[in-house]
Amino acid sequence: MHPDDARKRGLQDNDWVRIHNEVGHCVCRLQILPGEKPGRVTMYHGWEKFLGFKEGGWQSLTYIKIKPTQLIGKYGHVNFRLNYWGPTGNNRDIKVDVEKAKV
Amino acid sequence: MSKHQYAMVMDLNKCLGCQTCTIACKKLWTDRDGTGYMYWNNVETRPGLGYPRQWDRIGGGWKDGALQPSPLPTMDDYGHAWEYNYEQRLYEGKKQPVMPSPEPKSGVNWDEDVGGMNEDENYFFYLPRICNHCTHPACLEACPRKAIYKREEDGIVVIDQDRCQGYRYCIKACPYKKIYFNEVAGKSEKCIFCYPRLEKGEVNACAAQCPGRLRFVGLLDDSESPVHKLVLVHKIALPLFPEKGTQPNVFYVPPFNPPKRENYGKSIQEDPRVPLDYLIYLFGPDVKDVIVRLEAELKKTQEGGRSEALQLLIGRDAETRYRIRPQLVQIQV
Repeated sequence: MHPDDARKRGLQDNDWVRIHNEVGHCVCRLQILPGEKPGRVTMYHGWEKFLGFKEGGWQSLTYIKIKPTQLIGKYGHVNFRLNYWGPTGNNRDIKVDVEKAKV
Repeated sequence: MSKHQYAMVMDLNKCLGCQTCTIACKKLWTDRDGTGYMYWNNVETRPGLGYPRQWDRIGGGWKDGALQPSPLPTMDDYGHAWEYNYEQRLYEGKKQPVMPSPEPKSGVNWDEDVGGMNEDENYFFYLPRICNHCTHPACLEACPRKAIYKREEDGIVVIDQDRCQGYRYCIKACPYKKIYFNEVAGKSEKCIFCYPRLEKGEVNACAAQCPGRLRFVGLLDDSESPVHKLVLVHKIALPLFPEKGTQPNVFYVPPFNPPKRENYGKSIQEDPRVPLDYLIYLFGPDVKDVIVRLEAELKKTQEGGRSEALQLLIGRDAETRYRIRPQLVQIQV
C-alpha cells in the first residue's frame, strides 16, 4: 500500500489489516511501499491457504468465472472445481477496501 | 600483508535481489545451532536499513590510525530467526493458520523494495554483502586473543575457533558488521570466503549459485583474473565505504541505469535515476569517475565498437567470471 493511503486509514507497516469487498474478506499483514500506485493495493499470489493469513486466503476477495466447456461432464481436465488452477484463472483485479483488523 | 589476495567484484546492475546467494551460503555454512539469525552473505535493499539495522551509521573501522568501536547491534537489529509451527498445523490437526514466532517486528531485508521515498521519484537497488576480507582488518586489530588472522597465502580473514573466547570486540570494530556471535558455541563467526572450496579449485558457493552471474572472483594480484581487470585495469569497481580505512577486497560496479526521462543523447549524470549523492555516500567520491568511464564504454558499444570492460561485465561463462588457481597460492613447504 502507498504511504499516503496508509496515512489516511491510520495504518502502519506490519499492521494486521482486514481487506474486504462484496465477495469476501481476509486478514493479513500490511506492507507499506512507496513504489505502489496510490489508490491501489497489491497482494502476491501463491500463498498457502494456512500461511500468513489470520482469516481467509489470497483468493477470498476474488471470484472465479465458470467456462461453459467446463460443465460438459467429467472429461479429462475439462471439469470445474472451486479454486482449482484450471483453464480459467480467477479474476485478479477487484475493488477492495482496507481497514485495521481487530486482533 | 599477505602474499596474494583473493577478491570479489559484484556488478550491482545485475543483482535482482533473489537471495539465492544468501541461501547457498546458509545451506553450506550456517545451519548449525546458534547460527539461525546470521547471514554471512546477505542482500539488502539500498537505500534502506540494512542488516543489522543501520550498520552503516553506527561506527566501526579506522580513523586517524585508531579503532572506532561501535555499540553492539542487538538481536532486534539483526532480526530474530523465526520458527513456524508447521508441525501443529500439518500433522497435529491444529486449525489456526501457521504463524512465525517470535512475533516478527524486524528482520533481514525487512524494508525490501521500499528504497528511497521521494514522492513519485522512487529508486532502489540491491546490495549483496559478504565479509570484505580487508587488507587492514579492524576486527583483527581489535581482538585481544589474536584469534583473527589474515591467511598469508590468499589474504582471507578467518577466526580461529579454538582461540576465540567470544569477547565480541571484533563485532564492535568491524565497520561492515560482518562478524556474528554464536550464542550456543560462545564464539564469533564470519564469512570464510569459502576457502575450503577455493583450495579445491571451486568458486565460492554464493558466486557459483548466483543466477544474475554478477560475481567475479579471482586474485587481485593475478593480471589474468577478471577481478584484477575490473578493479585495476578498467577501474570500474569500487569498495564499499572506503573512508572506513580497512581497504576492503570486495568491490562493486555501481548502478549506472540509463537517464530517467530520456534514453538517447542525454548523459546519465544529467538526470540520474539513483542520486549521485547517495552513490558517493556508499562508494566515495571516485564513483563519479567510474560512472563517466562506464558511460564512455557504453557509448563505444552503442556506436558499434567493442568494449572489453562491458564484455567482461557480461561474464557469459564461468571461465570469464572466475579464475581460481589453487596452485598459485600454495604455501611453499
